Amino acid sequence: MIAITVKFLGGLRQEMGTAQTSLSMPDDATVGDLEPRLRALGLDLDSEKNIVVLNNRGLGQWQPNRPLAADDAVIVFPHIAGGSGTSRPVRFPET
Amino acid sequence: MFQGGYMGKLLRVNLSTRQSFIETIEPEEFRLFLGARGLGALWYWREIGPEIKPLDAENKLFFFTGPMTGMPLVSTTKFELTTKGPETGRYLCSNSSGNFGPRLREAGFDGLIIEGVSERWTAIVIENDAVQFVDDEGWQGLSPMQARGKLLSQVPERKTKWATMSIGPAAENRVAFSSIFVDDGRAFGRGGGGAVMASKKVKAFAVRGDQQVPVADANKCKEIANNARTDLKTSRAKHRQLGTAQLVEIINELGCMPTRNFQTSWDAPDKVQGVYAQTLRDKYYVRNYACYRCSVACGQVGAVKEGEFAGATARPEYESIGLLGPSCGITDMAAVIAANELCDNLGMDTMTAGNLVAMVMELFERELVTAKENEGLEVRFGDSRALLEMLKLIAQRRGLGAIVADGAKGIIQARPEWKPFILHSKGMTFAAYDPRGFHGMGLAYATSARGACHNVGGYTVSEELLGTKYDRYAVEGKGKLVKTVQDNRAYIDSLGLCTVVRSAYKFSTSPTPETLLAITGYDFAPHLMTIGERISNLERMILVREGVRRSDDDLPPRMKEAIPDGPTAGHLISDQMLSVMLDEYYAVRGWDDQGMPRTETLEKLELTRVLETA
Ligand code: SF4
Repeated sequence: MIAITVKFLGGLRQEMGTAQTSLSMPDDATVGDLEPRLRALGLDLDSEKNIVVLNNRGLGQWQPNRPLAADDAVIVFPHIAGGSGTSRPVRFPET
Repeated sequence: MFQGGYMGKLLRVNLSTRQSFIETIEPEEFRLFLGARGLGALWYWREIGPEIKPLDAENKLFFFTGPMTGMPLVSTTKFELTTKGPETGRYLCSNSSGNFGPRLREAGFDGLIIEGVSERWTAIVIENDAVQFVDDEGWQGLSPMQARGKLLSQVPERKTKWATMSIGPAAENRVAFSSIFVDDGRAFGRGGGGAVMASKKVKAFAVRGDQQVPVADANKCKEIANNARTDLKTSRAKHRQLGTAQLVEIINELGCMPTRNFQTSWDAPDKVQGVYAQTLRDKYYVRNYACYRCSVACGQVGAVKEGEFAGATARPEYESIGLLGPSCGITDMAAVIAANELCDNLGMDTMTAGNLVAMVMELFERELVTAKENEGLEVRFGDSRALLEMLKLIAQRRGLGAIVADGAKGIIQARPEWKPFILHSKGMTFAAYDPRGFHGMGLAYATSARGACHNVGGYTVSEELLGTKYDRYAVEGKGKLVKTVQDNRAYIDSLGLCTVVRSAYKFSTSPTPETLLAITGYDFAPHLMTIGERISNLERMILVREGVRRSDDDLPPRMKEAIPDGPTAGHLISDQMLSVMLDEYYAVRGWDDQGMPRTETLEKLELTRVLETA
């Protein structure tokens, strides 16, 4: 098994009641396996309320079949406001 | 053409002759430029030639509203300032919230132009089409809020309240990054509009009126407002809860936090958490702050109750926290609140002030300056007291502050050897995102119409982090991305709407028609991105007229150094990388390789005739 650290940032820390948790994943787990495990923690990933970043890149920027490694780091933070100015759903605060 | 959304008039006040004039704004000008930022650029093109210097009597202050300013919808608070700005010495556009824009419309005007110079220090009071001057040498030395209070105590009480703009002592001392404050909490923060207002000897404005902006379909507007309120209740709940300060933690984790004058872009979370949004909430929170007609109320007012900075109160946003905080090596929220409050009282932009104090700190660290040159004050990273004292020296032009007050361009002229330590583009200092971690932000800073800026330049962070076709450290694709976000922002800034709420009205790159149809009766939606592109090109033509070429679309030397540590360690933007991004950007914009809009581009955007009218 490999342990993946998941950190909760901003307002999400309060919502989850903790700053971070550890997911224990099978040795052959891939990026595609992350999302269901995060949902199981109670994170709302459907309404794009929350953003998941793996090793400093958005989850969608990784190939789903890329194997997970023990030093992989996941951060999750809320979609706060504002936007990138494109037609995609906006997910980031602007100041 | 328009059944609502515009008053169709502007008020021009000449301070030298004390005359005022009412002028017409043509429907065609609204069709092509929409409002606020677009109209500001148009009037600037017509009236501010390249030979005029920011503090010359010939420079003017243009304030324009948009078709949504003051309309019965949510967050319709914005209006735009356009002038030649002291920080860059060139075109400056800046937008602010507050009640002033809506009240100006109630007075009967979409725009206000201030020209000439007053003989004596004065305040301008506009009530409907009556303009009065309140001369008083006692205006000098007051903070923006004191000036507001003094002016409000002198105007007659009315049922609808007065809105104000005012400047502080930094503007009177011509600090190149002094701001114009709107009402009691918003500002035209960047670029030095305050110094231009001071050069005209105007300390404050008050405005109110009894008119109503016509609306094409009032019932539909009501329905849209209700839907927007419902949408924002859930979609902006976290924004209301913790404000933009939440970005401190996020941007630090992503390795883009300006740290010790951008020497690195990250610091240990157990240190930085001193300036997290949660710290602001837990230890300093007083209340939320809302702009005109806004149900989000994203501002977080914080007060320091005990310790060295007890009594300080401010509403720190992410940019101010990042640049007065970690960029100065400071991770104490009480100190950031105190520094923010001091900037507000002096009337200075927190962002450039933070950047330039961080520069002074680095100069001390490298032993390139001594306390002797700075009235005995050493200014070291992490020293909160020194930060506050340095801010005062800048506003009063004392010690090293006498040089720093002139902004990046002035500093480089006076002390060229300090250039490697100044983070700026075209004279405007960086926002609180290190572009080495999101290369699109580098292109945005380099090409922004007003110098390094995440708003006018474009905010690419979301797309670069989440978009499946982007890589945050790649240069490919960034030209198109930056063009798109810039044009989108240009039309948003012309609406009179706060950008934070724009998704509630579907003002994206493919906007839906209902909101502007209900307000104006005209279907702007299919043209909005073209209007944004037209504004971007007009602004570029202004810059070209002011001498800007490819070599000015640049990034400072520090961006060419690799980030030494943290999540983005090793990343940089070399000259060659910037050049690749610029080539792509110019190509998608239809500009030549020097960044000049091509004739056919101007033709396509219906700008050829407009440009002939200067
Ligand atoms: S969302 Fe925030 S910045 Fe925008 S109008 Fe509302 S309170 Fe003002």
